[in-house]
Amino acid sequence: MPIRITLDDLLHARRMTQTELASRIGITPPNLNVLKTGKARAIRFSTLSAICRELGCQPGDVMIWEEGEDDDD
Amino acid sequence: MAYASWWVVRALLVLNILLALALVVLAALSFVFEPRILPRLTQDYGPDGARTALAAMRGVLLLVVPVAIAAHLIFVRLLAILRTVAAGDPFVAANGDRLRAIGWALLVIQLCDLLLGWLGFSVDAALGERVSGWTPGITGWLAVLLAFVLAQVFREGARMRDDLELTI
Repeated sequence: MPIRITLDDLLHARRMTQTELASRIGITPPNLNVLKTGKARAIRFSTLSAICRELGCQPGDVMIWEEGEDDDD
Repeated sequence: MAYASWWVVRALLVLNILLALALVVLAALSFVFEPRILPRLTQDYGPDGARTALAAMRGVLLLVVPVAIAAHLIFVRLLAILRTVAAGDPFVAANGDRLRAIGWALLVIQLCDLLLGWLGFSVDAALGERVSGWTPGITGWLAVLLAFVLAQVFREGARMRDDLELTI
């Protein structure tokens, strides 16, 4: 997947754990892990909005695009 | 596996095997008892007509084999689909594949039906009277179409569900 989620750096900078963020944005830690490890197919605007709200960042800070093949179904 | 439909399909699967075996045995017996069958048919259709009628009868009996195999494949797949229903997860890609296989099996049955019709018309022509009673029908062809469309719907539905499950 050419879209990479860069939550680790943001979490580290804010001294926040993955579990804490998951709890604050209302999703389960395993689901946040799915998102973080690039296994998610899509992200809801509501999830993205909650992440940006809790981490005080913009959507572009959460994900970057890299050269690569898209996943085929 | 408390579903009534599961038991019905299981019963049909067994009946299909028994009926197919019975008809194959009948086809074999038609060779054993040919000396007794032919004179009776000769009385009605004459010597040439009797041979034609006997050959057609065997043809019809043997046509049961591919139809029974196709029906068996359908019942086996229906049971597999019903198992996923009982397990609470029927909307999976595998059921789409099973429905597509059912579509192909239904198509085989329809083609055998056409063959049966051709056999019937050939016998009618040879005997100079209508004995076959075969008439074309659209229901079976609609069932083939329905199975393929449902297979596509299931595959697409399963894909959409996978997408939804991985939407965070």
